[in-house]
Amino acid sequence: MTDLESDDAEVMARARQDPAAFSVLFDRHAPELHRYVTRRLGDSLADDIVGETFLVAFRRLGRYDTSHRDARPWLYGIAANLIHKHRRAEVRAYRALARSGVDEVAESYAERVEARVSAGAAHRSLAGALTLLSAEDREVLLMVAWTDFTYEEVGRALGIPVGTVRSRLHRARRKTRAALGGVDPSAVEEKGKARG
Amino acid sequence: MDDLKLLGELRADAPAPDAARLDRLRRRIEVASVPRPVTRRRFWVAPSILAAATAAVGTIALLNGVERPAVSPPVIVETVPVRAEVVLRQAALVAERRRAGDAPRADQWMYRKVVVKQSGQDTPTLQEYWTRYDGAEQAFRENGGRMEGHAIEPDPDDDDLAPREYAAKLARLPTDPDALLAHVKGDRHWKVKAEDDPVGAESADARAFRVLSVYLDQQLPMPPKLEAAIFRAFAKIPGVRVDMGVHDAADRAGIGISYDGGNQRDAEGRLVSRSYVVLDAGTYRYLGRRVDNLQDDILDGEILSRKGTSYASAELARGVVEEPGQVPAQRS
Repeated sequence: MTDLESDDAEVMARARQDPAAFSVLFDRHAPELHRYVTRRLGDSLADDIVGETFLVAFRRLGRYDTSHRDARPWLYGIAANLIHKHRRAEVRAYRALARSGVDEVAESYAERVEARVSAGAAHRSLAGALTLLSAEDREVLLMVAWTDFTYEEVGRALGIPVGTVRSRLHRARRKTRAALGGVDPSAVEEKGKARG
Repeated sequence: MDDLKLLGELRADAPAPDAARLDRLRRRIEVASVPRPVTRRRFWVAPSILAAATAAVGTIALLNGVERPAVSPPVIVETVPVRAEVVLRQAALVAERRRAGDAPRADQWMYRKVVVKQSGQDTPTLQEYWTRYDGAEQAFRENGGRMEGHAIEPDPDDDDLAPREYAAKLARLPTDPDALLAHVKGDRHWKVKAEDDPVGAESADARAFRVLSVYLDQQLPMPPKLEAAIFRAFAKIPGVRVDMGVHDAADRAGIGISYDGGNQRDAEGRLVSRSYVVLDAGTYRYLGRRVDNLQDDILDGEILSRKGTSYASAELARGVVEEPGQVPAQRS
């Protein structure tokens, strides 16, 4: 971060006085958030959820805790609540992927559907495991896997203590590992770099 | 097989949106969030700077009980800092002698007429709000133009209280200044706050000042004992300052109450702006708000507000009426 560049907290503080400043936050984080939502729910819901996330964020501007310089956990937390409303559709897609190898979420953003190959066996097992998780455990697992957040940031996003992040992740990974043929489920090492 | 690594590969080809799509989305948000009044809220609310000001940045100048300001005088040269306790004690004495207003009926409307002057705006905007006491409907008019109305659906997720609910909240508040202060230091004011608003950043004093200011800014009959307690509680917050000759948007000179500890500072530690609750100098009734920009506010090289400019609002009338469109006979 250079001196010339304001961090998110400064942008938020300014946006309280001048709503136009809020667009800086959008430009910074909307592309990656959009991609994350697309990955969770598919292309067709991403615009609505990202739009609503920023509107909610705008409405709650006054309550942003400016001691947190990076607004992403806060934004992803708002988005997680909106994604949660579509959890049945989300699980349905994992179930279909597990059964048929066809991922309707991936197809929603693929430019040439006919060119797609069906998912491998490991991904199908994994998708099956995702349907077995509670919504809370799945939320933690996917946020850990599909963002570069630390456990602390995941905790801030979801409004839960970091110990709860660890225990939910542990619970979730026990199931994903079992589905993949089992490693020692009690050994939860620190999160690896899992970027897509 | 590492499950996290495998999961990282799942849908890893999900694309980020292209520029045109982002532009459309940005416009959608701008349209919904920027126009006045902020229509995304359940209630249209008169512009409220202090309601939003939560940032606690920089050091807190201990001005309460100090006769001279620690920072250089603001650009508004005619304001004079005075002993906060003396003025606030007097305000409390006057406020507690007021007669308590009658509670409106559920089907009556709270009327409020506000003028708002943005920095760089030549002519102020006149806004009128009618809100049914039970919160079921609201009407709004700007610059005497067309009336806009909307019904308000109850939404448990929303944090704007209906006037009746807010009155009940105010009625439950302690009227002992110490008890009130203790209460608001633990009150974030907003109902929805759980997951996205950790208690951390805002200091207890900044929060107390903000929340008490929001109470004063309600379009409701204020219980006199509570109003007095608010003034006495202000006097107990270190760093609360009082300036004389602070002008509201109607150019009425009043008393400005402010708390610098909750405001933004620039890289050199100078206060970027000071925001006031403005009270009538004789009756201590709420007049409006004022924000003086003491330094250029610069974001990414762009000046958002210039040193020497200001924002101000002024409440011109308020009262209880029978239907939207009606105005009270006199300031109540």
